Amino acid sequence: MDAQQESSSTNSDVANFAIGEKWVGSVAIVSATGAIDMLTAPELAQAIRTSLDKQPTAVIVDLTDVDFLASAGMQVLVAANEDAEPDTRLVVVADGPATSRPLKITGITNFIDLYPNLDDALEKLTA
Amino acid sequence: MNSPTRRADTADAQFLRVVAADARTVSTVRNEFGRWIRTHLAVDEERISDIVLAVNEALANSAEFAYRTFPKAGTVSLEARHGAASLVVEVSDNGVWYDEDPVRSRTRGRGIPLMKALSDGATIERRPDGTLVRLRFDDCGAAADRPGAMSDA
Repeated sequence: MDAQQESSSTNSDVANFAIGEKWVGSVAIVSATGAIDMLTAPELAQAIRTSLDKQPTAVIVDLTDVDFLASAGMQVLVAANEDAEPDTRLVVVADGPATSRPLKITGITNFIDLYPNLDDALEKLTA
Repeated sequence: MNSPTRRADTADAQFLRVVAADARTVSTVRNEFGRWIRTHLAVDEERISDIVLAVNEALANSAEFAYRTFPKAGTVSLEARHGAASLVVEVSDNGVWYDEDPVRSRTRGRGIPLMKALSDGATIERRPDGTLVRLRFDDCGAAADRPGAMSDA
């Protein structure tokens, strides 16, 4: 039986932006909605740090509902991945021209695994 | 070759904003610019994303770096013109940010490579009075119902 807890979510005063954290077993999922840019990226960074402090076996950063990902957001993913290693695996869920494409273009997907949807990521991490 | 002087050509679609160079206004202007692209250009979602991201990176660099050594932040200007089949976007500020330091840590510095990868031409000009980024996107058709839309002459 998977234990799922809906933990916290924060809204910055930027319309449409939100961050949530939930768990599937020992895997933490940090999900974001809206745009991740220089204004909102620090909140994503903080949310991932908070999750990592709880010592999950893996962290999934779910960008399914993200409509814009700036280099500031990508830098957060790279830095968080460095923080997570080697104890915790960090992967990203993203699909579409605004998120998965820039991650591929910048070569970030060469060292951070990318999945098109949450189910695929969970399947891989809990296999 | 395009003349460097401004032509008052009513067939060109134009977008101009001059705003404070900070993170919040960057996000607002980016959204406005995205809406303008959707109204005036006939390009697919991937191209729209590419254009908006490249322009965001230029704006973000101004907001983050341009006025770092100044007592207070200045303004950044975003000017876009679409004529014939090319979209040209110019982002300029009156600060100093572009430097040619090749040493970058792994977690920083993706903005400029992104601008170059996402556009058909990206130049960064450092001038005495500020910095100018020019991005060109070729093969951008005009939206069919845009007033004054012309086919290539």
